[in-house]
Amino acid sequence: MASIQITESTKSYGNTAVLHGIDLNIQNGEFIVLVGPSGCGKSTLLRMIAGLEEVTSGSISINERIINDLPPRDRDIAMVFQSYALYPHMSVEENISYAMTLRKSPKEKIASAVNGVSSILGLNGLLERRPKALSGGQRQRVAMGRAIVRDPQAFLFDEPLSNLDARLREQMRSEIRKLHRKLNATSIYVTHDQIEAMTMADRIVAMHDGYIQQVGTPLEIYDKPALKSSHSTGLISLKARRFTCLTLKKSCICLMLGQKCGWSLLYKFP
Amino acid sequence: MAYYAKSKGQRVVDWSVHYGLLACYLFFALFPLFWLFKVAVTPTKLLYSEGIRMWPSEMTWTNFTQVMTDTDFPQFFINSAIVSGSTAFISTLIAAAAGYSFSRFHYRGKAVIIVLMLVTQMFPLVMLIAPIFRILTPLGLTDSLLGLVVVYTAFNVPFATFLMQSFFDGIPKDLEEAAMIDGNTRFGALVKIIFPLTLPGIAATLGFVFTAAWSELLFALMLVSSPDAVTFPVGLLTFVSKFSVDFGQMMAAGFLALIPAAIFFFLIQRYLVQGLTAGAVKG
Repeated sequence: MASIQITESTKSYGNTAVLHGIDLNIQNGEFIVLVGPSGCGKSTLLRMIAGLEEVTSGSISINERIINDLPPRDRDIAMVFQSYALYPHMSVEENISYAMTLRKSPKEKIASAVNGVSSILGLNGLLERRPKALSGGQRQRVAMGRAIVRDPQAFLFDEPLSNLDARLREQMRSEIRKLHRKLNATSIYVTHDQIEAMTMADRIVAMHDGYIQQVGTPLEIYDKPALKSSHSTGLISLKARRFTCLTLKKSCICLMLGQKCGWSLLYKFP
Repeated sequence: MAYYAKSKGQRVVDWSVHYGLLACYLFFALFPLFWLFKVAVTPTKLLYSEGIRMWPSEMTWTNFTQVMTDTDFPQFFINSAIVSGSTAFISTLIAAAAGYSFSRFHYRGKAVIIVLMLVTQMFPLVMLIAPIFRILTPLGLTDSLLGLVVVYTAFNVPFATFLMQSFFDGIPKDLEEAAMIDGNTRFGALVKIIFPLTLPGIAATLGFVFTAAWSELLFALMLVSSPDAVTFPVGLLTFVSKFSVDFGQMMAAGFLALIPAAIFFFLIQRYLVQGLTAGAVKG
């Protein structure tokens, strides 16, 4: 398990700056959700932590060790991609065990790890299949399995649920939370979905235009959104939506009452 | 309109048109091959005397045996196989490396290189023969198989590169990033994850370059004169003499020349079938 510190980190492509002086301290075992509109730099930040993008300036450290120049394979982190990124020419079992095979773990250890993961995620009957023979939800589970089998320092999730249908998403949301509670691994989760952010996060990091606007627990952000962060997360619109819902309900009731009492003449529709 | 909503008559019409068109195409593509074979097995004495018939009244294999025993054709075949095989292998290797870099990396001068490679494809080959001859002569590369391999590779690499690039573009970047996080180096990810998925592309490129080199005539004719280094398309011309054309042997040789190409495609055809990447990412 690990704590992650991001200090004064920036990212630019040529002259275009996409992240400006990001400062963030992530505690050991915390579930952090980066939320914001698309193009706000949340995925870039995640990829910088993974080592898939270089840090232009500033530093990122895991357990107080600066990892800026460490290649992804040496960072001991696992990542779940939005597209799942399963290896199509390997079976589910090979997909899950790939990282351990690369690290030359003993065969018995790999087998027991794969078994453990597949029973946690309900993949037992699917181990021989290729990814193309799986449904979207099953693929998502395999991607999760591939991440947790390694017992990494930290998990990174890049909008892992956005390709699932609403019901499955809800189910996976609670499963990911359950897994997190069980493994208690530091997790960073990127999403643009405010409900995901609200329901899953220990702390939410609201981002906009390459800046962190606000960091806080879901309730803090919901109750006292910084003006800018409310734009970025759309949380105020959540509140607003609830309000409109109420007023709508009221007016509907009025309308129905009105019709019942023969007040419909009072309403003039254009 | 949904397919199942069609009436039976409509379906029969659709089916007939579909297969009718395919049959027309097949006839158009395969008839010359049939005619090649037919002339090859026709005895020379019947070739002009029988008129146009779909099959000769008498069949013979003498043209084939003569080609194999009395001419230099076996040597020409070997030359062609060496030149085409090497060209295909080297071009595909270079094209795969270049295509991967175009597909995955951003670097200064990339656009310039791509444009230059396109420019090389714009000139008719005839224009380039004289300068190429001038370049190869002092290097001792005329009249040698190596010279042909060099020239063919140079001319095939640009197109092969674009072909390979499009195959790499079709493989999601996420896959190698996942492999790198799982513990691979970039090169390891390329070899273990990307390479197996690019096999159809590699097969297609190999096939394309092989056939291009196998049937190339112009450069082979201009750059090679000694029989030791003659490839089979040039060799076919030896059947044309000043006063006559030995059609029977020419066709027999042509038919034999098809066999290696057919074997080559038979070996790679299962990789030509696309769809290996299905299921890698969403969908």
